[in-house]
Amino acid sequence: MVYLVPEFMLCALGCVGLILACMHLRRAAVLYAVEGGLCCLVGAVIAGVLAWSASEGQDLAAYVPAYIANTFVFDPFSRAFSAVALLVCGLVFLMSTEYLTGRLKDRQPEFLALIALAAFGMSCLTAARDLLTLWFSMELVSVTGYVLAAFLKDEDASVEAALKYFVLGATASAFMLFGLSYIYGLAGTLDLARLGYIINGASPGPLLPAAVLLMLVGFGFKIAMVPFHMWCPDVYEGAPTPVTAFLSVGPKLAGLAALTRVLLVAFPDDPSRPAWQAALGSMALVTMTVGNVVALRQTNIKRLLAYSSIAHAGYLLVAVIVAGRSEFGVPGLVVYALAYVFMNLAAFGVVVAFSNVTGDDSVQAYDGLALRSPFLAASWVVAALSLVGIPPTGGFLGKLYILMAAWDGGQRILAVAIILNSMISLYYYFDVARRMYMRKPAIEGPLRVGGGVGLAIGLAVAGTVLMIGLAYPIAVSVKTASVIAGG
Amino acid sequence: MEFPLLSALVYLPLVGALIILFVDKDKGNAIKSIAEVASGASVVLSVFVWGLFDNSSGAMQFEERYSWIPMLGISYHLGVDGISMPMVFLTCLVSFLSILYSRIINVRVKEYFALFLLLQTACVGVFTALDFFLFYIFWEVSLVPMYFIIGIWGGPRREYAAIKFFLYTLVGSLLMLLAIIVLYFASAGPDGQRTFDIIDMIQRQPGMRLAPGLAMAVFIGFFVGFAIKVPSFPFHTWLPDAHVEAPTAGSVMLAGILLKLGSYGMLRVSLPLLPQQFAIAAPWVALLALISIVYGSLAAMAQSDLKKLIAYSSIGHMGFVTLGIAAMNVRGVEGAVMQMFSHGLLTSCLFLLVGVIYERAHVRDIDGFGGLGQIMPRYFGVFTFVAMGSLGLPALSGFFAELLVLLGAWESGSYTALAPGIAALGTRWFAYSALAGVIITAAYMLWTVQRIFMGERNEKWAKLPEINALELVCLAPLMALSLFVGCYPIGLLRPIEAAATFWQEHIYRMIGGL
Repeated sequence: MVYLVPEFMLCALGCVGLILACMHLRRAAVLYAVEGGLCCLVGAVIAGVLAWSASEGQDLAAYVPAYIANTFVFDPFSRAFSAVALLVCGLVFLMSTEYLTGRLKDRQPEFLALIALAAFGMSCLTAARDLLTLWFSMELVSVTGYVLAAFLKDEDASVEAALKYFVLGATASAFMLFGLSYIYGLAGTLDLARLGYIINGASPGPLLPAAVLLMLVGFGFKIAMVPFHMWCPDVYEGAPTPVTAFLSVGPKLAGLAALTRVLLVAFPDDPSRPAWQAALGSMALVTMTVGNVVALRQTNIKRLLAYSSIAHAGYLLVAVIVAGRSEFGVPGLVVYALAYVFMNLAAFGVVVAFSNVTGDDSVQAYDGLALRSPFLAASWVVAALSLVGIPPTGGFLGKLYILMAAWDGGQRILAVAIILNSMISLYYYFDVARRMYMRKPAIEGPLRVGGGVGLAIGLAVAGTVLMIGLAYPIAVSVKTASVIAGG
Repeated sequence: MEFPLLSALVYLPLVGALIILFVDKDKGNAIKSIAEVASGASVVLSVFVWGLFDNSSGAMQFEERYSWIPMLGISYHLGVDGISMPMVFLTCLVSFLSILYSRIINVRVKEYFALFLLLQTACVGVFTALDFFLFYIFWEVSLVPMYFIIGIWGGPRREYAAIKFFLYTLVGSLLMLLAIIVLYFASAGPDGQRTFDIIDMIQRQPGMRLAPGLAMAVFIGFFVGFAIKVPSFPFHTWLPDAHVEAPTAGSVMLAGILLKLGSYGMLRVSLPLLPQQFAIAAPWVALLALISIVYGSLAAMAQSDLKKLIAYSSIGHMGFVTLGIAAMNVRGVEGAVMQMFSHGLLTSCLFLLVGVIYERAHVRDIDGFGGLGQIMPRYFGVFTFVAMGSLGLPALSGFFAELLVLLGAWESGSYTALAPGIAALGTRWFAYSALAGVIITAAYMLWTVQRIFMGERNEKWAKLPEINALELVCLAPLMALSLFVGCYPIGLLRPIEAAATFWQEHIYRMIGGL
């Protein structure tokens, strides 16, 4: 049962939050944030160690009761991503500490409870054994996301963002459900492993690729893949910044992991694979390019990071595409996911810390930050280096793995595309860094960074840098984590 | 286990940088002292290492190898041979003198010196790394401090110059990364294990296992990455901006060390790993080198900004390095490495001298000066000494280096064997044309000295203070070394020749002799 620690912890955390809300314990919200965050991080370490020590092929399901094992898959892959879910939850909790008392007037414990429950949904999503569990988990993550986006209910931007997210998200989920229904109609089962067995080499007809494409609509929306990305900048800009931070890593990574599992387990020998693989490949290419190119023109830092996260979804999709073809595919996905959590949350942490004090999210406002808060400016630079893929950061390790996976998996054009896109991305990340270091601030005087968000940024930056030093244990654990159980 | 001398050499400046981060930012003198101690200690250590170095052996010495990520074939592998040892020493020396000169910086002192020491670590790391993963890490790490140094402490157009430098060099590095990955996948050894190690790859020759088109693409990937750094025409356009806008010490590091990273890469990576592709491309590489020499020198002649003139002269001098490498024979490679060393010394001096005049006059317009020889006679003497070295006067280091390069180009067969078109011109034409570059260099150097120091005394500058002790202390070791190497080149040449011969034998074996 020890392998269920992540799920238990997240569920318990959510329930604690709801209880706190019911009991109207306002002041406890900050304590809840800090304690909850630290617990999550400890849990993430434990889960990470467990994932590392789980040897290949070990049947973890033997350690859990049958009724849970029938719904969820317990393989090292899902354990790795549940550790990631804990990590995300912990860092976002810490990041929100000052935000709770600053911007959120009420319902503070619910805010955190919803984040915990969304992370729980993330964890379930990557462990889903059949398509219906997958859809349910995705809905859990989505609905909590819709509510979280609307949390600043007095601000038009937040409500508009949530409405957009909800309407488009519901549509995407409907498409996905429709696709699932086709698959059920064709195969008679929704269990992923049985699907793989049934589809194996069977003549597809036009319905199966159609069903897969419909499913991809749902996944594509969640991970903000082009052409389903239009909600991303508006929702990221309008939602409360800690929610944006969570949305940029949580649902995205969980969606990608779930997509990998579906593609590898249910459709490994699907005869129409080359067709939709080509479609996925071109979508990955367009996604990363659109994300990077449009980010060049952004003047709001949350929109800039939104487009940057669209681009990173493109890179991660390359790993998903070659998952079955290259031994570096799934390890690349896991390494990049881990690095992405650290680097993106570091970047968003800087934005949260800055807007807590100034309330300004425009890129221009960051002028001269290095003089006002060297810590924030240096953290942004480390995060930017990692996001571009410059050593010695975790982002470089992730990009290296994905490039190796792409080349090994035969996707040479995608490998070149990743390189070219990294070059483009340097400009906009370092545009902000340039403003921070080379311009004079509009308001002089030191900028106070809150303890919670400072801790979150510090941990994220440390994680980014340490990933290179800890490259050996990470390489071992991702190799283990690349085992995706077939049944 | 013996003491890891090379690791100490690489990380000593980094330790200094970390210590500086904990010092209060108002204690400028303490920060400067810590930086000088860290960098000075590394100079002493590098002399010590060179003292222990076996100058007659061409193999790798002081090797350190620890397993890092075995499943990817990545290890922490450091080592020096006759080609990298002079470069390591040069890096430590030039860094120390730049840090010494940077005593005049008083704005944001803490960040400046921390960045500088980080830069030194990265550069020494590149020269000693023998595993591609490590090499790439150090290569990229050298970009970041330089970006900030140019961007924060530079001239009026510093932001533009900084991002141009960063972006341009990153493009090259990313192409190099892809090339490294392609080679990795072809590098399976006898036990089926692939490797990122440079020395292992040289033995396994993955370039030969690739299809010719792909191998050439890999070569071009590496070449563009290195050529941007060198900088070779046509990838040189970032250099004038970066040099002009960088602060003096930044320019010294950029010209003295960072440019050498590119040519070192060609020597360590392109030549031994992809010799056949290099042999095919050598005429074109030589042509680009030639254009760099002649165009760089002509462009320098046309400049009115002193710093920009020296920037273009760098392009010209580094063209000689590339020409020597493209000659693909022992003489050419020797000349290339000597020219790297000599250029590192002399151009660092030139930029320090520009700093001297700029600190006093706050302009760099050559035609705006005149008769400074009467006002600042010592500066006149030093400047002339360095200018003579730069144009290749015998008894100073530049002469012997350029001589070896020209000899290598003269007797090189690499242009005839695989490029009949150019062979029709005859290999000698490369040497003749390079000589033209020497003549043009002499022309603009002498003309510059004349315009600034001789002739009518410009009363506007009558009150300029003479060159001071700090500046002389920074210049003296470089000048003395240049004189020493110029008069006694064997001292430097012995290790270089050993290494060049060692590698050349390997290359000739691979391409069946030229």
